[in-house]
Amino acid sequence: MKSAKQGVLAASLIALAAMTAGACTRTERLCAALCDCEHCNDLAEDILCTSIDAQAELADVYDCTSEFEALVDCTLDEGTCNDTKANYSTREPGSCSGEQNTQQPCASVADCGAMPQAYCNGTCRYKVCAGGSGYVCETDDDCPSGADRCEAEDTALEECLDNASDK
Amino acid sequence: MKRLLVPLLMAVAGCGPDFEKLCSETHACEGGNDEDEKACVVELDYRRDVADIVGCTSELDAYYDCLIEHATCRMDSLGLTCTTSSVCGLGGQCINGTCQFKSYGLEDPDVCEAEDNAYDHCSDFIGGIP
Repeated sequence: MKSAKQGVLAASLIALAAMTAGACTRTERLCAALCDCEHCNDLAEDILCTSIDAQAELADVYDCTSEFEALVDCTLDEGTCNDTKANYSTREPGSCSGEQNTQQPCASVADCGAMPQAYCNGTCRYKVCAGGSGYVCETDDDCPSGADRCEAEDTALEECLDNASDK
Repeated sequence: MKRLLVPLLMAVAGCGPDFEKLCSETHACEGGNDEDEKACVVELDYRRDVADIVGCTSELDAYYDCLIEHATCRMDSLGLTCTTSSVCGLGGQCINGTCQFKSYGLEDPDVCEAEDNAYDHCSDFIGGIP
Protein backbone atom coordinates (compact mmCIF):
# COMPACT_ATOMS: atom_id res chain seq x y z
CA MET A 1 0.00 0.00 0.00
CA LYS A 2 2.82 2.30 0.93
CA SER A 3 4.62 1.59 -2.32
CA ALA A 4 1.43 2.23 -4.33
CA LYS A 5 1.13 5.67 -2.68
CA GLN A 6 4.75 6.33 -3.44
CA GLY A 7 4.13 5.31 -7.03
CA VAL A 8 1.21 7.74 -7.36
CA LEU A 9 3.27 10.48 -5.74
CA ALA A 10 6.16 9.82 -8.07
CA ALA A 11 3.86 9.84 -11.10
CA SER A 12 2.31 13.14 -9.95
CA LEU A 13 5.72 14.69 -9.47
CA ILE A 14 6.84 13.57 -12.92
CA ALA A 15 3.66 15.02 -14.44
CA LEU A 16 4.17 18.27 -12.52
CA ALA A 17 7.81 18.43 -13.57
CA ALA A 18 6.84 17.85 -17.19
CA MET A 19 4.20 20.59 -17.00
CA THR A 20 6.62 22.99 -15.35
CA ALA A 21 9.33 22.25 -17.90
CA GLY A 22 6.92 23.12 -20.70
CA ALA A 23 5.64 26.31 -19.06
CA CYS A 24 7.38 29.56 -19.83
CA THR A 25 7.35 32.80 -17.93
CA ARG A 26 6.30 36.01 -19.67
CA THR A 27 9.89 37.15 -19.98
CA GLU A 28 10.99 33.81 -21.43
CA ARG A 29 8.19 33.99 -23.99
CA LEU A 30 9.16 37.55 -24.93
CA CYS A 31 12.80 36.60 -25.33
CA ALA A 32 11.85 33.61 -27.48
CA ALA A 33 9.49 35.70 -29.65
CA LEU A 34 12.17 38.33 -30.29
CA CYS A 35 14.89 35.81 -30.99
CA ASP A 36 12.77 33.53 -33.17
CA CYS A 37 12.00 36.56 -35.32
CA GLU A 38 15.39 38.22 -35.32
CA HIS A 39 17.49 35.04 -35.55
CA CYS A 40 19.65 35.70 -32.48
CA ASN A 41 22.58 33.38 -32.02
CA ASP A 42 22.88 31.57 -28.66
CA LEU A 43 25.13 34.26 -27.18
CA ALA A 44 22.83 37.11 -28.22
CA GLU A 45 19.80 35.19 -26.95
CA ASP A 46 21.46 34.63 -23.56
CA ILE A 47 22.28 38.33 -23.31
CA LEU A 48 18.81 39.42 -24.39
CA CYS A 49 17.06 37.09 -21.92
CA THR A 50 19.38 38.27 -19.14
CA SER A 51 18.60 41.87 -20.03
CA ILE A 52 14.84 41.28 -19.91
CA ASP A 53 15.20 39.48 -16.57
CA ALA A 54 17.21 42.42 -15.21
CA GLN A 55 14.49 44.85 -16.36
CA ALA A 56 11.90 42.71 -14.56
CA GLU A 57 14.02 42.81 -11.42
CA LEU A 58 14.43 46.58 -11.66
CA ALA A 59 10.68 47.01 -12.07
CA ASP A 60 10.22 44.86 -8.97
CA VAL A 61 12.68 46.99 -6.96
CA TYR A 62 10.65 50.10 -7.82
CA ASP A 63 7.31 48.33 -7.22
CA CYS A 64 6.40 48.65 -10.90
CA THR A 65 5.93 44.94 -11.61
CA SER A 66 2.34 45.27 -12.83
CA GLU A 67 3.34 48.02 -15.28
CA PHE A 68 6.28 45.91 -16.49
CA GLU A 69 4.08 42.85 -16.97
CA ALA A 70 1.51 44.93 -18.85
CA LEU A 71 4.24 46.10 -21.23
CA VAL A 72 5.55 42.54 -21.74
CA ASP A 73 2.01 41.23 -22.34
CA CYS A 74 1.34 44.02 -24.81
CA THR A 75 4.62 43.40 -26.62
CA LEU A 76 3.73 39.71 -26.91
CA ASP A 77 0.12 40.33 -27.96
CA GLU A 78 0.65 43.29 -30.27
CA GLY A 79 4.14 42.63 -31.58
CA THR A 80 4.58 41.32 -35.09
CA CYS A 81 7.53 39.87 -36.89
CA ASN A 82 8.54 41.37 -40.20
CA ASP A 83 10.09 38.29 -41.78
CA THR A 84 11.73 40.16 -44.64
CA LYS A 85 13.50 42.50 -42.22
CA ALA A 86 13.89 39.95 -39.38
CA ASN A 87 12.52 42.63 -37.08
CA TYR A 88 10.07 42.24 -34.20
CA SER A 89 8.10 45.39 -33.46
CA THR A 90 4.96 46.67 -31.77
CA ARG A 91 4.79 49.60 -34.16
CA GLU A 92 2.14 49.86 -36.84
CA PRO A 93 3.66 48.84 -40.16
CA GLY A 94 4.56 51.58 -42.59
CA SER A 95 1.93 52.43 -45.16
CA CYS A 96 2.54 53.45 -48.74
CA SER A 97 -0.97 54.86 -49.09
CA GLY A 98 -0.34 58.58 -49.45
CA GLU A 99 -0.41 60.51 -52.68
CA GLN A 100 1.51 63.55 -53.81
CA ASN A 101 -0.18 65.57 -56.55
CA THR A 102 2.32 67.56 -58.63
CA GLN A 103 -0.53 69.48 -60.38
CA GLN A 104 1.27 68.89 -63.66
CA PRO A 105 -1.42 68.04 -66.28
CA CYS A 106 -0.99 64.74 -68.10
CA ALA A 107 -2.76 62.47 -70.55
CA SER A 108 -0.60 59.45 -69.82
CA VAL A 109 2.25 58.46 -67.51
CA ALA A 110 4.65 59.32 -70.34
CA ASP A 111 3.85 63.01 -69.69
CA CYS A 112 5.15 62.64 -66.15
CA GLY A 113 8.76 62.24 -67.30
CA ALA A 114 11.28 60.53 -65.10
CA MET A 115 9.37 61.02 -61.88
CA PRO A 116 9.81 57.80 -59.86
CA GLN A 117 6.68 55.74 -59.17
CA ALA A 118 4.59 58.33 -61.01
CA TYR A 119 1.15 57.71 -62.46
CA CYS A 120 -1.28 59.90 -64.35
CA ASN A 121 -4.76 60.74 -63.09
CA GLY A 122 -5.45 64.02 -64.87
CA THR A 123 -2.33 65.35 -63.22
CA CYS A 124 0.95 63.62 -62.47
CA ARG A 125 0.95 62.00 -59.05
CA TYR A 126 3.13 59.64 -57.13
CA LYS A 127 2.77 57.45 -54.08
CA VAL A 128 4.18 58.58 -50.77
CA CYS A 129 4.22 57.14 -47.26
CA ALA A 130 1.19 57.98 -45.13
CA GLY A 131 1.79 60.19 -42.09
CA GLY A 132 3.28 63.22 -43.76
CA SER A 133 6.90 62.06 -44.10
CA GLY A 134 6.73 62.75 -47.85
CA TYR A 135 8.91 59.73 -48.68
CA VAL A 136 8.29 58.41 -52.19
CA CYS A 137 7.40 54.73 -51.99
CA GLU A 138 6.41 51.69 -53.94
CA THR A 139 5.39 49.27 -51.18
CA ASP A 140 4.60 49.47 -47.43
CA ASP A 141 8.10 48.18 -46.66
CA ASP A 142 9.58 51.41 -48.09
CA CYS A 143 7.88 53.44 -45.34
CA PRO A 144 8.94 54.10 -41.76
CA SER A 145 6.83 52.38 -39.13
CA GLY A 146 3.94 54.18 -37.48
CA ALA A 147 2.52 54.48 -33.99
CA ASP A 148 3.65 52.16 -31.20
CA ARG A 149 0.74 49.93 -30.14
CA CYS A 150 2.28 49.60 -26.66
CA GLU A 151 3.03 53.28 -26.16
CA ALA A 152 0.54 53.60 -23.27
CA GLU A 153 2.11 50.65 -21.42
CA ASP A 154 5.61 51.94 -22.14
CA THR A 155 4.72 55.39 -20.81
CA ALA A 156 3.04 53.91 -17.71
CA LEU A 157 6.17 51.93 -16.86
CA GLU A 158 8.43 54.92 -17.47
CA GLU A 159 6.28 57.11 -15.24
CA CYS A 160 6.14 54.48 -12.51
CA LEU A 161 9.94 54.14 -12.51
CA ASP A 162 10.43 57.93 -12.60
CA ASN A 163 8.03 58.47 -9.71
CA ALA A 164 9.64 55.77 -7.59
CA SER A 165 13.19 56.98 -8.12
CA ASP A 166 14.79 60.02 -6.52
CA LYS A 167 17.40 60.27 -9.26
CA MET B 1 28.91 16.08 2.29
CA LYS B 2 26.15 18.67 2.61
CA ARG B 3 28.10 20.38 5.38
CA LEU B 4 31.01 20.78 3.01
CA LEU B 5 28.93 21.88 0.04
CA VAL B 6 27.01 24.68 1.72
CA PRO B 7 30.05 26.77 2.74
CA LEU B 8 31.63 26.05 -0.64
CA LEU B 9 28.55 27.32 -2.50
CA MET B 10 28.37 30.36 -0.22
CA ALA B 11 32.02 31.09 -0.92
CA VAL B 12 31.48 30.84 -4.68
CA ALA B 13 28.38 33.04 -4.52
CA GLY B 14 30.33 35.58 -2.48
CA CYS B 15 33.00 36.00 -5.16
CA GLY B 16 33.16 39.07 -7.31
CA PRO B 17 33.30 42.79 -6.61
CA ASP B 18 31.43 44.20 -3.64
CA PHE B 19 28.62 45.86 -5.59
CA GLU B 20 26.64 46.50 -2.40
CA LYS B 21 29.52 48.62 -1.12
CA LEU B 22 29.91 50.48 -4.41
CA CYS B 23 26.19 51.23 -4.58
CA SER B 24 26.00 52.21 -0.93
CA GLU B 25 28.85 54.68 -1.31
CA THR B 26 27.45 56.03 -4.58
CA HIS B 27 24.10 56.47 -2.83
CA ALA B 28 25.73 58.27 0.11
CA CYS B 29 27.56 60.58 -2.28
CA GLU B 30 25.02 61.28 -5.03
CA GLY B 31 21.77 60.82 -3.13
CA GLY B 32 18.68 58.88 -4.15
CA ASN B 33 16.33 56.65 -2.21
CA ASP B 34 16.69 53.05 -0.99
CA GLU B 35 15.13 51.70 -4.19
CA ASP B 36 17.77 53.54 -6.25
CA GLU B 37 20.48 51.84 -4.21
CA LYS B 38 18.89 48.41 -4.77
CA ALA B 39 18.47 49.18 -8.48
CA CYS B 40 22.18 50.03 -8.67
CA VAL B 41 23.04 46.53 -7.41
CA VAL B 42 20.60 44.92 -9.87
CA GLU B 43 22.21 46.81 -12.76
CA LEU B 44 25.74 45.85 -11.75
CA ASP B 45 24.70 42.22 -11.22
CA TYR B 46 23.25 42.31 -14.73
CA ARG B 47 26.56 43.59 -16.13
CA ARG B 48 28.36 40.76 -14.37
CA ASP B 49 25.85 38.19 -15.70
CA VAL B 50 26.49 39.44 -19.25
CA ALA B 51 30.25 39.44 -18.68
CA ASP B 52 29.88 35.86 -17.51
CA ILE B 53 27.99 34.91 -20.69
CA VAL B 54 30.67 36.38 -22.95
CA GLY B 55 33.59 35.06 -20.90
CA CYS B 56 34.82 38.38 -19.46
CA THR B 57 34.02 37.84 -15.78
CA SER B 58 37.60 38.17 -14.55
CA GLU B 59 38.13 41.39 -16.56
CA LEU B 60 34.91 42.90 -15.23
CA ASP B 61 35.78 41.87 -11.68
CA ALA B 62 39.26 43.38 -11.97
CA TYR B 63 37.83 46.68 -13.22
CA TYR B 64 35.20 46.96 -10.50
CA ASP B 65 37.62 45.83 -7.78
CA CYS B 66 39.90 48.67 -8.89
CA LEU B 67 37.02 51.15 -9.06
CA ILE B 68 35.78 50.20 -5.59
CA GLU B 69 39.28 50.54 -4.18
CA HIS B 70 39.97 53.98 -5.65
CA ALA B 71 36.62 55.75 -6.11
CA THR B 72 35.84 58.77 -4.00
CA CYS B 73 32.99 61.24 -3.69
CA ARG B 74 33.97 64.28 -5.75
CA MET B 75 32.52 67.58 -6.85
CA ASP B 76 32.45 67.97 -10.64
CA SER B 77 31.86 71.18 -12.52
CA LEU B 78 30.27 71.06 -15.95
CA GLY B 79 31.08 74.72 -16.57
CA LEU B 80 27.53 75.98 -16.06
CA THR B 81 27.50 79.42 -14.51
CA CYS B 82 24.95 80.15 -11.78
CA THR B 83 23.84 82.58 -9.15
CA THR B 84 21.72 80.14 -7.10
CA SER B 85 21.61 76.34 -6.73
CA SER B 86 18.07 76.21 -8.12
CA VAL B 87 19.36 76.87 -11.65
CA CYS B 88 21.73 73.87 -11.43
CA GLY B 89 18.93 71.29 -11.42
CA LEU B 90 18.69 68.03 -9.49
CA GLY B 91 21.66 67.43 -7.19
CA GLY B 92 23.53 70.53 -8.30
CA GLN B 93 24.96 73.20 -6.01
CA CYS B 94 26.02 76.68 -7.01
CA ILE B 95 29.55 77.17 -5.66
CA ASN B 96 31.68 80.17 -6.62
CA GLY B 97 29.41 80.97 -9.56
CA THR B 98 29.47 77.54 -11.21
CA CYS B 99 27.19 74.52 -10.82
CA GLN B 100 28.92 71.68 -8.99
CA PHE B 101 27.64 68.13 -8.92
CA LYS B 102 28.59 65.38 -6.50
CA SER B 103 29.64 62.17 -8.19
CA TYR B 104 31.20 58.96 -6.99
CA GLY B 105 34.08 57.90 -9.20
CA LEU B 106 37.77 58.08 -9.92
CA GLU B 107 39.71 61.26 -9.22
CA ASP B 108 42.42 60.04 -11.59
CA PRO B 109 40.81 58.15 -14.52
CA ASP B 110 44.16 56.56 -15.37
CA VAL B 111 44.32 54.63 -12.13
CA CYS B 112 42.09 51.82 -13.51
CA GLU B 113 42.95 52.34 -17.18
CA ALA B 114 44.56 48.92 -17.66
CA GLU B 115 41.56 47.13 -16.14
CA ASP B 116 39.15 49.32 -18.14
CA ASN B 117 40.97 48.57 -21.41
CA ALA B 118 41.16 44.86 -20.68
CA TYR B 119 37.42 44.77 -20.01
CA ASP B 120 36.67 46.75 -23.19
CA HIS B 121 38.94 44.58 -25.34
CA CYS B 122 37.49 41.38 -23.90
CA SER B 123 33.97 42.40 -24.87
CA ASP B 124 34.89 44.05 -28.19
CA PHE B 125 34.08 40.97 -30.26
CA ILE B 126 30.36 41.40 -29.63
CA GLY B 127 30.39 45.15 -30.06
CA GLY B 128 30.77 45.97 -26.39
CA ILE B 129 28.81 44.88 -23.39
CA PRO B 130 26.69 47.28 -21.37
